[in-house]
This record gives sequence, structure tokens and C-alpha cells, in this order.
Amino acid sequence: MGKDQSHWLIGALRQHTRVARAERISRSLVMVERKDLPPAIVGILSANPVTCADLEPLLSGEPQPAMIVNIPTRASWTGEALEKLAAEGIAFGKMYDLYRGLNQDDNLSNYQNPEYYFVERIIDQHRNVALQERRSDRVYRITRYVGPALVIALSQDYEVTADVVRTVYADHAPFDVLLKTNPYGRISQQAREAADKLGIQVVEQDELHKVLAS
Amino acid sequence: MTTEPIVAEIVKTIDGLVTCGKLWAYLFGSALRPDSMWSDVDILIVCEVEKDGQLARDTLSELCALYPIDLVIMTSQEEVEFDFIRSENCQRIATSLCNPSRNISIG
Repeated sequence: MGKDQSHWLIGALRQHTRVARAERISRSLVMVERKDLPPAIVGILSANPVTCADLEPLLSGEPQPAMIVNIPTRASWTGEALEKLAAEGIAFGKMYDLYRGLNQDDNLSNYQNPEYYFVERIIDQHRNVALQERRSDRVYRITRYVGPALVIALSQDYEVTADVVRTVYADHAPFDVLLKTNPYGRISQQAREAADKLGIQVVEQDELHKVLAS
Repeated sequence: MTTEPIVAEIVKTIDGLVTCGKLWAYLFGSALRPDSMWSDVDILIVCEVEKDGQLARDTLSELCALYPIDLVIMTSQEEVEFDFIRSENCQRIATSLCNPSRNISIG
């Protein structure tokens, strides 16, 4: 995005009840002063997918952000970009994540999306999982002790519709399983039919153990 | 910063969209509550023809790159299954121009 995003972010942050002041540092960096928590520097970008090249302008200068926010809600982050951010100790997410992080984390760079964290922990702790590789923020390749490797794509959608299945497939195929990470909402009949046609499974979060074992 | 300018852009886009079947856009979530904080603008698209949903997503893609817009797209049949409009108190904001003879092709 060519335009200055910092002004937009400052305007949006004014409504946040924990934010005392937001001040522009550059076109993609904003200093956020919180009422009862330490201040934090937030980077902002608009890309899909977010790659290392997109991060470079934010990481090459001083000061570095504690968290980088990507505006498009459906955009993904490549595995390389996530490795880079992990190495630099910088959190990532969308606006929803920033709002949560500003509420909860003394050090914003420690923020982790709770749904991703929950799924990673289930995978990590499953006895049939030998190795998990994060290919992007929402695609994992799982090497299992028994059974072939599985590629699992995540959907945070509340209601998983046929459009969700087709959109995630268009963005992230090939994968074997589409996992609905949101514990609320449902998977529609048309979504299940679309998944069948594409040759993938679409499952609820509580079915993940069974998928990893089978 | 309010959601009004973002919603106005969405309304303009959907009102000008020509679709095969009927398609409606609704606003729901925190953007409907003036006193609440919003982190994204929740938009529901309901379409009679599934491919029209993809058309709406493609047409709104530039706006979705500029602003945090969370698009939920479902067919009329799925909306009945979820009872989404009633349960989420969705408010209709726009309707596409329906032209059943329109032949769309999505790769």
C-alpha cells in the first residue's frame, strides 16, 4: 500500500480504551502509549501474503516494532516471514490481535494468537506426531510416526461455509485437512460437500486428535 | 476513526455489482454498536448463487486490502441453516443488481 498507514492506525487506536495516546513515528510505525501498561511500538503493513521482503522496511531501521499488524484480515504470513519475526522477537497479527495484545501483554512482543497457540500445543503433544513444520501462519505439515504426513490448513472463521472452504483451498492448496479453529459456530452442509469435491476433510477443533491418530 | 466511511465504500461497491442471482450485504458485529471498540468491520454477504459470492469477494478485494474488513460469505441455503441474520442481528446495507442472464465465469 503506497499511502501512509500510520494515520489510519492512529485514528483506529483512539477508540481503544487502554490507549492513552498514539503518535506517528514514520509512515509504517506508531508509538502507542497505554494507560496502565508499558508503551509499545507497532508496525503496520498491507500485504497478502506477508513475505520477508514486506518486513524488511520495518526491521531494517530503528526503532524496531514490538508487533507488526497486517491490515487485510484474510492475508497469510509465509513460513520464512514467521521465522524472521521469531528470530527478531516480534509479534504479528491482524487488527484483532493488536487490540487483544494491547489489552493483555505487558510486553507486546510476547503476544500470540490464542487459537494458533492452542492448535500448536495439541499437535505438539500428540503422541503420533514426530515433527510439525509451520509452512505459513495457517498451514502446518505434520510428520507422523504412523501414517503418511498430513498438511493441515487452519480456518478461524466462526461459520465455515462453502466459500470458506473454496477460498482457503485457493489460497493454500495442496492440503489434506481444513481445521476449524474457532470453537464456536458450525460447518455448513455445503462446506462439507465442497470439501468432498476438493478431496479434503473439513473438521472441528475437537476432531483434531482423531485426525492426527488415524 | 469510525467505520462509516468504510461501510459507505462497501455499500457503493455492492449496490453497483451485477450478479446472476440476488445478493445482499449486511453489517453485523461491533460496527453496529456505536459505543464499542471495533477491530474490524464485519460484513455478511448472502447470495442465491454460490459463484456470486466469489464475485463479491473479488470486487471487494481492494477495499479489503485497505481496511480490516472481515467478509463472511454464505449462500441463502447456508444462511437458513445457520440462522445467521437473526442470531447476529445483521442489518442489511446493500443489494446487488440482479441480472439472471449474466454469464459469469470464475476460474
